Amino acid sequence: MIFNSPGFLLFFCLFFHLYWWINEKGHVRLRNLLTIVASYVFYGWWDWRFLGLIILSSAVDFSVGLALDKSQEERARKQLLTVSILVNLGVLGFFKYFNFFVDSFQQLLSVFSISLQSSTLDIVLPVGISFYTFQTMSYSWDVYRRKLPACRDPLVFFAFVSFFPQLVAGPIERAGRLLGQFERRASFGYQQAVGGLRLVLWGLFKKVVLADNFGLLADQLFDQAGQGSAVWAAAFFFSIQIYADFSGYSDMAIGCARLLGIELVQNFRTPYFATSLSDYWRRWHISLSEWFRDYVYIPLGGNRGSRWQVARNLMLTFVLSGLWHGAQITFVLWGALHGVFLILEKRIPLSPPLWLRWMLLYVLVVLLWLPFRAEDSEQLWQLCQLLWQVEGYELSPLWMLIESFSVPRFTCLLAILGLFTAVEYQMQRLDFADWIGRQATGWRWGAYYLLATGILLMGNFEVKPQFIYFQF
Amino acid sequence: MSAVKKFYRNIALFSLPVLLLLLVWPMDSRQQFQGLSGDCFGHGLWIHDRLSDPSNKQDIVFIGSSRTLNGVDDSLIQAELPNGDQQVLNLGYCRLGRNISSVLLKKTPQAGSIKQLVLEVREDEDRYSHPVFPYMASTKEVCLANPFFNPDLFSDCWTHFVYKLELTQDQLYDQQPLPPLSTATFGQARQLDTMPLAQLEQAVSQRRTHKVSGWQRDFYLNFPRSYLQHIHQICQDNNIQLSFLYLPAFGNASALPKEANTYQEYGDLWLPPAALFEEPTHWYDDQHLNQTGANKLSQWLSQRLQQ
Repeated sequence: MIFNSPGFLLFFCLFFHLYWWINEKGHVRLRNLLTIVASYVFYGWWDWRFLGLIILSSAVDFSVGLALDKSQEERARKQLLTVSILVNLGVLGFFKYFNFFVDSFQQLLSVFSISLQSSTLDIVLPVGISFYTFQTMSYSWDVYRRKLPACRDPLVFFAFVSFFPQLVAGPIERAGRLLGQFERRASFGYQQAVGGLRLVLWGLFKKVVLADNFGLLADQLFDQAGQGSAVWAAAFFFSIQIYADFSGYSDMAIGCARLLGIELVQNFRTPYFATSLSDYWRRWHISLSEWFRDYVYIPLGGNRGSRWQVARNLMLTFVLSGLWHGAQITFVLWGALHGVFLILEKRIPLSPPLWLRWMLLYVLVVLLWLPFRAEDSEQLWQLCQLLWQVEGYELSPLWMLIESFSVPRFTCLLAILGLFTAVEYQMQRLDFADWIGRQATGWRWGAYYLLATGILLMGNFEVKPQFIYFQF
Repeated sequence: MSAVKKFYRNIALFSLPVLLLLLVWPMDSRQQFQGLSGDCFGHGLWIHDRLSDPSNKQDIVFIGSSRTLNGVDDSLIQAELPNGDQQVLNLGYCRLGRNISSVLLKKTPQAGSIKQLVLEVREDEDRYSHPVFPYMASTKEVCLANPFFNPDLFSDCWTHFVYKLELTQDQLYDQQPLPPLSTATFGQARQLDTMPLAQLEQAVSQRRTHKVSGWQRDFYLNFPRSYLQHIHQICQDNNIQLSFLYLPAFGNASALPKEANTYQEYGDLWLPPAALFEEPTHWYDDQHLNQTGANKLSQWLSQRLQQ
């Protein structure tokens, strides 16, 4: 079930009414049970067979949390944490990385002229597995570090792991933030619910108007890229697509949760307005960046130690972050390149004017999307070669694509992009709900209708509803 | 006012203008029929052009699924009828769903008066909405499509409004000219090949049947039955003679259609000779007659029409 599908609209309306009705009666445990059932229905819509994995992950971490709370002996506590990590990473490793490691191992051996006969398995990647395993794992870690008491109510814990608005593509929530919200009775707040709706509208606009239209252009350009100009344009369009797609999803997820009285963490903060790479990573996919900071970077030593140690910590964190995105060498490369540029940024302090810093960073981020988007290393190599071929730069392929897409439509799309950029610039660190909430009533309602009109008249309804981050 | 009530009121205030606009937003009917999703033999636009042309008329109209489309040779029937100025028209359209018959029938009288409607019936009525219905029907027809018994009501409404928006967007941005007017008079799609007997028998053995009986069947069939009643009503209002033509799949000719009594309530039930359907050389596949079969059936139909 996808947020921008008719099925979800029906599902959410039904759930919303039932949820608040039970909540108003004061049955918190029943409300949590309903949340779990609805979340499993939501997830099972894709493939009910993988529900077992969520239940396993939830059950293991719930039990580990209880055992950690009881145990005082450090050795036993470490063993319990190891169990949680092994189970979660085991599940993730098998479903996501098994084939990648077998292939990589074979390729490595072939360098030394050793051929190994082994076969990969036809494994289907369960949707959202990287998100919920990280969420449950962080809970056990927090209990182990005594940052958090163990959750004693299985309904609360299972609802925390499976909460459907953020189950398949985040934001990756921390137990410390979310568990408490399931433990208490929620009260329907008008402002909170309206804020939720605003975010849903904004997210939907980003998804169907920006992501799906620019995605269509980017896909065609990547498929037929024969010139440097096409690769530059493709990378630029993809940078808009991925931002609008993922941040649109996050906004809808946060909005849906807010409609249920649950606050989720902000996942994006206008990242393309960052003026340094470290600033960019504080604004892009915040929940994942913070997860890697707290559970990988800092345990590795963080900023402490020599320059080389800090550089090593950064590189390891970003390579792992790349690997988290997908079992493919191109993702690892994407992560590693971000790591390298971050190290360079720390080591070579330059202070060009702000606008230049912003521009350089944006171009760098756009170029770094190439390994992320490339199907494989071969395509990446081709794209990179084309990128620097200055000879034969022509705009005709791009123009042909725009003509086939429709010139008036493209012009409208660019105008909308301009307007969107202006709004994002105004928003800065606020989310859309808060920002629009500060405007006068007339402006607010005008903006709502403008967004609705944009969705109706510019939304791309021909593409099959899908979000890029579901594959991770 | 409680927070919840205020919330619902404001949602309604915001959505109503948008919904109203969506409801009344006009669609260009030629564009509508041209863009049918999964169009059958490119028939959508032809149906529109054929029915909108004031110089064309239709006295005898066949409406049904691909069995009608392949099996009824309208040109042959017209030629065989003694009174030469009777126009016969095959409006068969692939796939099942009784509601599309009603849409086509409603569109037909606009182009001329029909004297006889021959409606295809199969072994049993289908309980679902036709896949093309939300594309072909008007907003009113889609939104009021028997809401109590229509399992596809919600998805049909959604598809219809999305299609409406896509057409509007095409008008706004694409402005590509539609294909020229179709001038073909007859609608039959000819199938010349013959399926070997062994394959026919294999296809019969692989058929799946969903056996539903009792109150469940009655419940499900409320949807097609209500459309049959509606079609009957239109025929009565316009003095159209209504007949039902049984077109079974290969191997099913011996049994009567399950809804035979319903059909007989509204009109004649025509049962072509079973031998016609039992002859393996008459089949393109186990569901559709080939041209040989179509010729035989059409000859029989022309005789039946003369009675």
